[in-house]
Amino acid sequence: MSPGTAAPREATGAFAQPPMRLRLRLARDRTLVALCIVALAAAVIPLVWVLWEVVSVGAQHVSLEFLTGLPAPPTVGGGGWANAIVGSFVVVGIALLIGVPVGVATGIYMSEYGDNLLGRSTRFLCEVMAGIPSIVAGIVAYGLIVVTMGRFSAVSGGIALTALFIPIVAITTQEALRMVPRHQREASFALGIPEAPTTLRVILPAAMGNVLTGIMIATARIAGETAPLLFTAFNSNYWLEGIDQPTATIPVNIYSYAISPFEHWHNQAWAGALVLVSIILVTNVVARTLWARRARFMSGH
Amino acid sequence: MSERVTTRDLRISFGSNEAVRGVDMDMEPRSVTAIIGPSGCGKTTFLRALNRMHDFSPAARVTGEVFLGDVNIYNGEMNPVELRTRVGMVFQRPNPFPTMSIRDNLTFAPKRHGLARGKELDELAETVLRQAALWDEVKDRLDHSATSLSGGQQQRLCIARALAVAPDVLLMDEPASALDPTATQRIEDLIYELKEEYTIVIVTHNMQQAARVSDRTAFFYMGELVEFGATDELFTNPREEKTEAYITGRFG
Repeated sequence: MSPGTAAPREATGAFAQPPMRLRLRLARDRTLVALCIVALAAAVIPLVWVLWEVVSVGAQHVSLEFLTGLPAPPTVGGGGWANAIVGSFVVVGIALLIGVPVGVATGIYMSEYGDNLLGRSTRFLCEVMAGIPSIVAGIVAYGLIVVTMGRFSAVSGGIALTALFIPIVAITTQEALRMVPRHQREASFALGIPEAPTTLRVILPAAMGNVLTGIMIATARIAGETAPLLFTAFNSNYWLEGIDQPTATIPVNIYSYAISPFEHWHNQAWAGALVLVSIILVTNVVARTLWARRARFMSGH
Repeated sequence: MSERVTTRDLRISFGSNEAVRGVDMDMEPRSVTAIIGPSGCGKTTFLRALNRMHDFSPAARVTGEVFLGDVNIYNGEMNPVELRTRVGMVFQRPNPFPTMSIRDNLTFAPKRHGLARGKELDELAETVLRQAALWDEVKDRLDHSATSLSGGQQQRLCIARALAVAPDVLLMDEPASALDPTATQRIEDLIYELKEEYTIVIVTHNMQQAARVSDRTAFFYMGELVEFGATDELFTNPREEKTEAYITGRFG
């Protein structure tokens, strides 16, 4: 039979119906894709909108004075948030200093040695902790540190943020380590390398990209936290004098300036929001660029 | 250097499934012992008992005796970590450390074990790379990532890495099964040279490979050692009917 004499498919018994059914399936397929796109838009549009507002309004009010000066009374005008910018770096820095080693070590324990009651309850606790309202972390730090020290301080703010930071980093570290293939561990064990150095020198480096991502996400989260700082780091109109002293931070300043009745302060709150977003974005990009170099090495180029 | 490995009534089970059922076997120094058999016959499970890799699978239960020279490796006379510095292993798929350079892959373990330091480490890296017939191909890029090498080169790197801790025994679990024929040929040549200095035990799916590289061959079936003898003998004149059926391709 030559190809030309083949009967058209629609005409052959068993294939008589499918085109109709196929059209239906294709229509269903397209509907589902369309729904996904709508959902995507619903998720992305508010994000882009917020970012656009922050950038467009904030950019009009960021100035050299804003970045380098101390706050001025609202009636005078001008003034800056330099002390809050420094304060945010210090408070988040304290949180990272405590939180990175503790969080990563907790994740290592849960992944490598945590197949027991302690490991599983730690994981459960981390999941609960990652979900508690952040103001609770602030209250606890207030009760434990501020009351004991007798004053608000940068260090109490850092510790409040650490409580939010550790569970996120612990969970992401655990997941990252679990993703490293088993044969990597075996390669190391077979050379007579004990478990601890295998974890630290072989498994952790192989998982470092994802561990770093977890740290970045957690850092971005705590850098924008306001509630835990309200009654820990508190506020200040002056330069930070020591980590045992209260300090202004960008998020708390945004909050208090935004609810004030002064338009000048409202504008400064926008500018502060832009600075905060920029800092998070820049550190993210820098960390990823540094990591990408290392990742390129590992992929052999 | 180069010790005899002996097993007596070695049994390995995972839950209720006994994968290795009472194997007595002597693996001679300075020779290649090949282990052949169909999939699931327990050959890899057997091999992994010789350097205690089953320690990392909670479900595995190992009974019986394994001796490295005169030392029973399972009764506490020898620490498993020390054991693995004396019994090296090459895996089925090349598994260099992806975050390390070619040099670091080789020097990582010897440095930790205190076998060499400083310039000695570079010399050691060169020695084992020459042993693994890889030196000429990588000498100009020792600082490159190990994953920049081809599959066959990676496997030779893994062999060099195993040699760098100066083991007495080298276990190879289908070391060429993921490689093309040319790379396989190179690995086989290498095995032939290495047996001058090491006790080599190689698990292989490939009977021609067993015939080419080994002095003695063991045929495993359903967790039991069916036949064990000189390779020429076993392939030309097998004693057991099952062996004959397997090597002539009637099952497998």
